[in-house]
Amino acid sequence: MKKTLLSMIFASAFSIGAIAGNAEVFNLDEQEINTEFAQLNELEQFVTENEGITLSEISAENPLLANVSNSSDILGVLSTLGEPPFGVPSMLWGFCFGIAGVALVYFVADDRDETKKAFIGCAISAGLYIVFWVVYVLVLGNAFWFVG
Amino acid sequence: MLPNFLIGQHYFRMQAEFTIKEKFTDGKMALTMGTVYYDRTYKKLVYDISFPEKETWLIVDTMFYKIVDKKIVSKMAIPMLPNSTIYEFALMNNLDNFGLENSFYTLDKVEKDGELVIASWMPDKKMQKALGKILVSKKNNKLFGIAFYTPANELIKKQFFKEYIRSSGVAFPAETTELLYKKSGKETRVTTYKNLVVNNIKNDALYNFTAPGIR
Repeated sequence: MKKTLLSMIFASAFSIGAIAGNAEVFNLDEQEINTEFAQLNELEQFVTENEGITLSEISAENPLLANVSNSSDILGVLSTLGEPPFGVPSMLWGFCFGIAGVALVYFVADDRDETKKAFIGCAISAGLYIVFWVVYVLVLGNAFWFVG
Repeated sequence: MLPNFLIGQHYFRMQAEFTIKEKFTDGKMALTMGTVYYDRTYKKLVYDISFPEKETWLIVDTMFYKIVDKKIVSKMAIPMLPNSTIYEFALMNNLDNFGLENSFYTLDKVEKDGELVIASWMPDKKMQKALGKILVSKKNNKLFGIAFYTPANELIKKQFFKEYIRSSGVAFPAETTELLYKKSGKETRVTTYKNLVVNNIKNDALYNFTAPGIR
C-alpha cells in the first residue's frame, strides 16, 4: 500500500514536470556536466599525451584514476546509438527475445521482480507459439480431411 | 527527389575516433577511447578500443562480442541491430528523426518553441501500455535532442546532439550527451567524435572485422 502510494506521488510529480512545457526538457546544464567530468577530461588529456597507454599501465596511485572504473557500461553505451534498451518493460524483453531477454533483464536490472516479469513475457511468447502451431496443424489437418 | 545512388551520393561506411565519458549512479566513472567503424554492406559495427584496455567490441545482428587478441572473451544478445544506430541514420542522411519514421512510432504533433521545433512521436496503439512518447527536437533543421518517456509520462532519458561535423556530405554530431534517470539516480554519458571519414575504401578488414567463432 505504502509502495503504491509512493509510486502514485512519484508519477504525479513527473506528470507535472511534463505539463510544464516540452521545450524545458531540452535544457542542458553544460556547466554542471563540465564540472562533473573535469577529472575525466584531465584523464583523457593524459591518455592522448601518452599515446597507446592503457589503464593498467597507469599507476593506481595516480589521482586521475580515483573512482575510475576499468570497464564501460556497454549496454549503456549502445543505448546512446539507437532505440533504447532501457525503458522497455521487462515483460516485453522476455516476450520478444525469449531466454536471452530474460538473461538481459536479470543482469541489467538486477531485480527479482523485473526478472520474473521478463520470464512471464517469455512464457507467454512460448505459449502463443505452441497455440499457433496446434491451431495451424488442426486447421491444416481438417483441410486435408475436407479435400480427402 | 532522386535516390542517393542515382545522384552518385551513396554513403556506405564511416569511421571516427571517439571518447566516451560516463558517470554512474554510484559515483564511479569510466573513460573509453578508440575508433568506431561502421559499414552498411557488412552490417557490422566495430569499436576498436585503445583505452582503458586494448580490445574490440563487435556488434553483428543482435549479438555483441568482446574480443581480446582475436579471441571472444564475452558475448551477449542485445536488442539492437547495427542498422538501427545513429551511424546508419547519418549515412542515410536520415538522422533528423532518429529513424523513428521507420519504426512503430507515428508522428503525433509538431510545435515550435523559440529556436526549437519539437515533434512528439507516439507508439503504435497496441504498444502504448508498454512504451511512452518520444520527443524529438530540431535546432537549425538539425537533430538537437531526444527525450524518452514511460507510458506514465515519466522522463527516463534525454539525449543531446551538438557541434555537427561534416565529411563528404555527411553531417554527424561531434558530441552527444545522454542523461539517464534510473531508480538509483542520474547517469550521465558524454560521447565525442573527431576525424570523421566517410567512404574510406582502404582498411576493409577493419570494417569487416571477424574472429574465430564469428561468421
